[in-house]
Amino acid sequence: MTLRITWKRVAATLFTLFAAGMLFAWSGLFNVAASSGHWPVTDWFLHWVMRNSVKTHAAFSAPDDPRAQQELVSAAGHFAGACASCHGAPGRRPSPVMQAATPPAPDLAVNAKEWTDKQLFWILQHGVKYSGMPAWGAPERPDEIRRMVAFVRRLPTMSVAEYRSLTEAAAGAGVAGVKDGVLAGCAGCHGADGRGRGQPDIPVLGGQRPEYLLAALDAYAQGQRHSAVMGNAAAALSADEMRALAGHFAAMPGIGTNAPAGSAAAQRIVEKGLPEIQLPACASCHAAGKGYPVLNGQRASYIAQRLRQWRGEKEVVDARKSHATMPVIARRIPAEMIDPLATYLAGGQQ
Amino acid sequence: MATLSLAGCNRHQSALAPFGVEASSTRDLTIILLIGAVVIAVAMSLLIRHAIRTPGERLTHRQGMKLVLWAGGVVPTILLFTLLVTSLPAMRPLPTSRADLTINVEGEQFWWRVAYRPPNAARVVSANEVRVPVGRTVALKLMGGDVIHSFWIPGLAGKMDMIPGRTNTLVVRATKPGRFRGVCTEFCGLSHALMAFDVVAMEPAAFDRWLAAEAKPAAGGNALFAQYGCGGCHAIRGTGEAGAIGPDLTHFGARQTLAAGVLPMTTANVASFIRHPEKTKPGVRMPAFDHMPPADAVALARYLQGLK
Ligand code: HEC
Ligand code: HEC
Ligand code: HEC
Ligand code: HEC
Ligand SMILES: [Cu+2]
Repeated sequence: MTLRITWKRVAATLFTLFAAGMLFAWSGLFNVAASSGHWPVTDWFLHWVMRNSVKTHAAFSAPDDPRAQQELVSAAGHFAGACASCHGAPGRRPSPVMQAATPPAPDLAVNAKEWTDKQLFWILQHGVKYSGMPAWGAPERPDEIRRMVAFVRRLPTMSVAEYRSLTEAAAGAGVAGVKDGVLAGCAGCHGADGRGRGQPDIPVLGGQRPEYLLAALDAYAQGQRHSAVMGNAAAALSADEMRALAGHFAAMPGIGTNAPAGSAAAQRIVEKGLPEIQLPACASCHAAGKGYPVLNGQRASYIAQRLRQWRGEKEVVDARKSHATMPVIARRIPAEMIDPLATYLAGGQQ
Repeated sequence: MATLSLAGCNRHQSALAPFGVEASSTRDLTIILLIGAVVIAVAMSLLIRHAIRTPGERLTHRQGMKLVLWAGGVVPTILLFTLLVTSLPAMRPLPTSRADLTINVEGEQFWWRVAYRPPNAARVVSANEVRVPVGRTVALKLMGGDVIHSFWIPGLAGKMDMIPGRTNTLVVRATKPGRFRGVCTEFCGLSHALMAFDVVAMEPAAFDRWLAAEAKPAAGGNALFAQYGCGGCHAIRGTGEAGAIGPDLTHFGARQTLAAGVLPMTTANVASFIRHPEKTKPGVRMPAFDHMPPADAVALARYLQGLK
């Protein structure tokens, strides 16, 4: 007997297969239970697909400088707050609840070695579909992802003591209305003195205007100010806790006392602006008695980083960028003046 | 279509409703040309009709050539020459003297910097409105502050480009008082179509009184204006606020329109413009102040409108 293949028969077969598949899905016989895990072959296949996908996409879309250099505190603190419950950390086992997921989050002290920096960057930026691995909380902040790549890279060799020293700092005296654990969380990154533990990416909070700190916490929690790190730290705070913490850190000694110092060109921008390119003087807003954040004595690297972030990507036209006050002003600062300005405002040091 | 084209018939921004010497002579010339064009078109149609209906061979070759010479060469030459001679005077700028008022106007994206330079007094800075005395000759010095703009008050005179690094002079004389409008007529950026200004032609005595008032400092300062740092870009004479990046606001409340002839001057419009100027004018060079509570914006608007 010969079976002749005709178009009609092909179509009928395809349709029958589709209908059978739909019937199976509709019947509910497929088991979505995480408890049963995947068959080994499914597990192998899914990982194979994931690995290929990461390799291909990372090759095309991850940046060429995917890893930051020295600043690890904010990444370590973020890891402790947002990743360790799934992945575990040096001296800390992952939460058993999270490990009962399919697939369970891998131990990064082992797995980090399997990926290049660019691939890690891509995974952290985009997350992994059909697994619990989330995308980065603030897509606008590749600088944060770079720091996390540096931290994950260090995990295989990181001792428990080193991890502790990165994520914990003596919290100092408590704050009325704020649980000690919450304050300790802030201190882990900002230090008990609010000076940011010498980290280039963490601002000095002491001496800042309390209204501004409060507005910043609120903006982080609402997602209006982009930072996965602070977004996660601020998300769980109540309005009262925010107010108490803003007041607590603002009252500490810190910025606002030292005089700016540095290049004359930077001084000119701060005091007079550059009217010929429509850049107003920074001091027309950032000065005592006005409702704007204090800049004098702030960390230079942090100031420069914020200005660069407001400027946004070169490839995007201005008309598509934010029209809020500081983004507009930051875009008018000549590119080569960002670092001198930041250093000048910081009082001469980095 | 007809109603749409009728919308062009207005008295405050129209080259057909002149209030100045130059625009009047341009309008007269336009009307003469139009009548001439109609007469010639009618005459030609009649001639063609005549030619079609006449049987052939009515003219000899010689007569035909003569007709071509006169109707196609001599008469048009005389007509065009007469036209040239009568229209040449309209191209000559009005004569000026040192005693005349000079007004500097500088086009900026998307507003106008205006400075009055009366012959024997200090210069007076203003913005987004040009006032001229009726019957007096005024020299407008036109400049481009950032990119090329073009200055046109249809009822007063022809257009003239404003080019960065160059000063073009346009001499005008208004012939009747009233409130008119001018526009930018050279594409200059996203909000080019939202770059206009008010023109006020005033009786000379009233103009002199107005200019003396405009030269005075503002009635007083304002804590919110200082606190929000508006003075980094805007000047309000007499209050220590001396920014030169945006329009001078010393007598802002005396203007009838907001944001370069775009919005009526109401408290609500001023307040919402301060918080979100980009919603009115895309690409505007003033940043948004969306962190400002709306109540503060209203208080600021009231203060600014009080600056008469
Ligand atoms: C809800 C649990 C969960 C959280 C929270 C989580 N991850 Fe994951 N992560 C996973 C899972 C599951 C995978 C495995 C994905 C796969 O292999 O398909 C994974 C994979 C990864 C990988 C790739 C390792 C590999 O070999 O698969 C890295 C790197 C990683 N996570 C880092 C992080 C960091 C950094 C954070 C915190 C910002 C984080 N993860 C938060 C569940 C989580
Ligand atoms: C994981 C590290 C980390 C933790 C935990 C953390 N912060 Fe931050 N904080 C940062 C970093 C990094 C920045 C700078 C973020 C940016 O670039 O916008 C920051 C910025 C801030 C700012 C904005 C300051 C400014 O000048 O704009 C405030 C306010 C703040 N943190 C308060 C807190 C408080 C209160 C807590 C505790 C609830 C806390 N932070 C916990 C790392 C952390
Ligand atoms: C018209 C007022 C205005 C002017 C002028 C101005 N700023 Fe700002 N600046 C602001 C506002 C508003 C904020 C708060 C922005 C926010 O939190 O989103 C700010 C915040 C900042 C911050 C962040 C502070 C922190 O602790 O995170 C930096 C840095 C800064 N400005 C630098 C400058 C520099 C440099 C100049 C001069 C070139 C300047 N600003 C001129 C209004 C102004
Ligand atoms: C960075 C400079 C800058 C700052 C800061 C600034 N402005 Fe402006 N402002 C401008 C420019 C430029 C225009 C002209 C906009 C246009 O019409 O294209 C303008 C226009 C205006 C106008 C309309 C003027 C007119 O003649 O119709 C008002 C009112 C105004 N600004 C108020 C304010 C107030 C109030 C503040 C402070 C909260 C402020 N501006 C801060 C640059 C600035
Ligand atoms: Cu224009």
